[in-house]
Order: sequence, then structure tokens, then C-alpha cells
Amino acid sequence: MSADVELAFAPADTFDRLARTRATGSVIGLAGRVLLALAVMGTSVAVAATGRVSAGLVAIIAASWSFALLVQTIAAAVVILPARTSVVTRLRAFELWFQAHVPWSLWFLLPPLYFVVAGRRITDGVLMGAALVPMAWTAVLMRAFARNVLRSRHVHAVTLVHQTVLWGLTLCYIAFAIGGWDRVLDEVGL
Amino acid sequence: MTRLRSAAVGLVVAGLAAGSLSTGPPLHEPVRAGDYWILAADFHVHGFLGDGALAPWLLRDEAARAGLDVFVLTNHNRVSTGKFARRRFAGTAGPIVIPGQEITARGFHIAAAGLEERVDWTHGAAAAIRAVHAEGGVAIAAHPERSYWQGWDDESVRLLDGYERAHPSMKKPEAGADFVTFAARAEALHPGMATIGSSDYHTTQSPGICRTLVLARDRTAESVIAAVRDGRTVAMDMDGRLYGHGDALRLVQEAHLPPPARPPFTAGSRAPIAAAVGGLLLLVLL
Repeated sequence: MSADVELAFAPADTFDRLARTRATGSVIGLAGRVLLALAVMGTSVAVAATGRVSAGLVAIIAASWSFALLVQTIAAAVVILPARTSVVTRLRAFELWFQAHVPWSLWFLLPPLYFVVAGRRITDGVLMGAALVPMAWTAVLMRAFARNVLRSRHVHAVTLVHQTVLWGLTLCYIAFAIGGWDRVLDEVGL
Repeated sequence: MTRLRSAAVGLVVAGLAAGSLSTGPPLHEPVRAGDYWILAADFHVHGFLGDGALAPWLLRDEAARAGLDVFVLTNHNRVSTGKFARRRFAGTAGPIVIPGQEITARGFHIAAAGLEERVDWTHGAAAAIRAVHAEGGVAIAAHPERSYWQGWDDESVRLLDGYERAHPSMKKPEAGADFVTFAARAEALHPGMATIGSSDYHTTQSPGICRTLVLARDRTAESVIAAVRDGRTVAMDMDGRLYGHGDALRLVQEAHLPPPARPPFTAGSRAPIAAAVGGLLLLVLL
């Protein structure tokens, strides 16, 4: 089992151990995690949208949707960069945070796995419902990250700030994609 | 562990390489019917940047694979992606790209085709349709299910150039009857109005899964828009059923066109996916 999986299921102990094992970060390690996340996202969207995969298709989709990782990076930066009590370097902190990708990676791999097994696409409703799991799971991981890597005394506040930035930016994109904030406000009767 | 991870990377690369080897179908060649070309069109497709999954160049590939001759990029309350795509593909072989907008408001959605500027949706359906016409475009009532009827007064229905008679939502048990009811109302208020089939493609299904067979005088965006305005269209649903009227319906029936191709869920496409996804899963877990 990978350290990433251990981290997903025992976040406090694993973050603590990984932070003690190595305090300085590796650009290659971070790049590897980012690349894996892009490959997972590109493959999943390619299968959902076209029912096939190819190198070009996955690369273009991954590039298009790489802004999702940018959003994750910005949200992480908001809590990592100001941290003064962290036991690791900032690069190592980013590396460790990107190691917490397992919940979202599994969610992204669920539809193509279902396709391979069942021969048809998973419905949007099921997929959206299933997204609640990685959403909640990642918030739990952030709490452990704040406590065991950033060594913050304000674990709740750090988690809240991270989640607010993450979902605030995500909501801004969704509003843009479905026709703008004015439409969103109109839909809710404001 | 390193050996296992190397094997997993190999599996991903093999899957992507195998998927890259499969070539797409040849470009669709439309048929002639009397003085017209019968062009397969999808007037309601979403792309990236927007709530569609695919960037315009990938969308065009998918449209070609689906046997479409024309598609309209209709992102919500935005026309820029369609204009970009039209500029990018001008003069190249493949489906014609027409800029459009899904004019999206609480009580109505309109798939507008042939736009240059964003249409304001805040002043009601009739005002939006007049704005579309002022730009030389056509306005089509999008997925006219009960939940989208609120904004359709008689005046705005009369102004429409077409309505979606075939749409994937029709498969929902509660929605099928709504499409029939709206069609009867549209025909009563504006006889001969264009019947349109659209996929409303975002992420799943396939572009052209419901489609419009357009009787166009030539293979240009202008001719496609003119055909909708004149009601020379026939909607085709997912099962190949046709909805239209008069000569247009007769000409399309006589052409014996096949139903829309379902996405290629074949063993040939499943094996590369299985390899790539299996490899990625191993990389995540090991």
C-alpha cells in the first residue's frame, strides 16, 4: 500500500511520520504527484466525454482542466505560506498536501472503472452524490495536515480558510460556466 | 514496489498508445435530396470554457466522429467560445462551427444560433428573440419541459424560429409528454416552425445523439440558418424517429438515413481504457 493510501486512512499518524522522515521538499516528488493528478483527471474526463482514451485526448483535456489543480494550489498556498510553526519547508508542505490526493483520485477513477466493468457510463446524479465523500474526506485530511505538518494551534480556522478559498474559487468557476453570477442570483430569486 | 510502479506506468502508456492507434471514421459526406443538401446538425452543444468538458478543437473531432456536418456552440449566456472556434476552424475540412448562446434565464432557455454578440437574457424571452433576430440569428426553444415553461407567453412562442422536438431529456418518463404538449402549442401559434433535434451535450452522452436534419441550399452556416428560419428541418431522436412536416419530412424519410450512432462502447475502445485506468489505479494505490 502506498504512503498516499496510508495517509488517506490514517492521516494524523502518517502526516506526522512523513514530516519527521524528511523536512525538505523535492521538486521531482511534487511534479510526480501533480502529473499523476493530471493524468487521472484527463483520463476520467476523456472516458466520460468521448468513451475512449488516447495520448492526445488525455493531454489536451488535462491541460484544459489543469486550472482545477491551480485552484487546489492557491487554496493550499493560502494556509501553507503564512504558516510560521511548520516542521517542514514550504516545498515539502506542498508535496505532502498533494500526497492527500487519494479521495479525489478514486472519485475521478470511479466512472471509467464503472465503464470498464459495466460497459456504460455512470449517471451524473450518482457521480455528483459520490463527490460528497471526497469533499468531506479532504476536509478531514486538511485538519490533520494543519495539526501535524503546519503544527497550527488554530486547526479549525486553518481548515475553514482552506475550504472557503477552495470552494469559493470553485463556485466562481461554476457561476461563470452556467451563465454568470447574475443568473445564479436570478435563479435563487435575488 | 518500484517494479510494480514501473509496470503500472507501462500499463498507462500502453493503454494511451493503443487508444491513439485507432483512427476516427472518415468525414461524413451529406446526401443530396432534390435541390438541397441534407446536413446533420446539432444546434445545442456546450464546450470548455463553460460547463462542457471538451475544448472546441476536441468538440469538433467528436462532432465529426458522430457524423455531424454542423454544430452550434451554445455556452450559457456567452458567445465567445463559439466565435473563437469559428475563427480557429475557418477554411478547414470538418463540421461547420456556428457561434451561438444558450440564453439562460429562470423561466426559459433559448438555443440561439448565428450570433456575433452576447444576447441579454434579463428582459424576457420575446426581447431576447428579437435581439437574436436583430443579429441575423435564429432562436430555438431549448428542452421545453414543464420546468422551463414559465417564461413562454404566446407572443414569445410566435416569435420563435424553432423548438427542440428531440432531446435526450425526452427519455425521462415525466418529460416526454411535456415535449409533445409544447410542440402542439408551438404548431398552433406558429405553424411550420422548425423542428429541432439537439444533444445538449455537456460531458456525457455524445454530440448529435439527437440531431437535426437540415435541408440547406449549400454547405454554409448562412444556408443552415436560412433553412431553420424557413422551417426546412426534421428532428431525429436517439432511436432514429423523425419529427417534422411537409416536404422536408418527406425528403428526409426518402433518404433513409441511419439513426444517430451511439458512442463507440466496443471491446476495441474498452481495452485501452481498462489498461490506462488499471495502471492509474495501481499508481494511486501502490
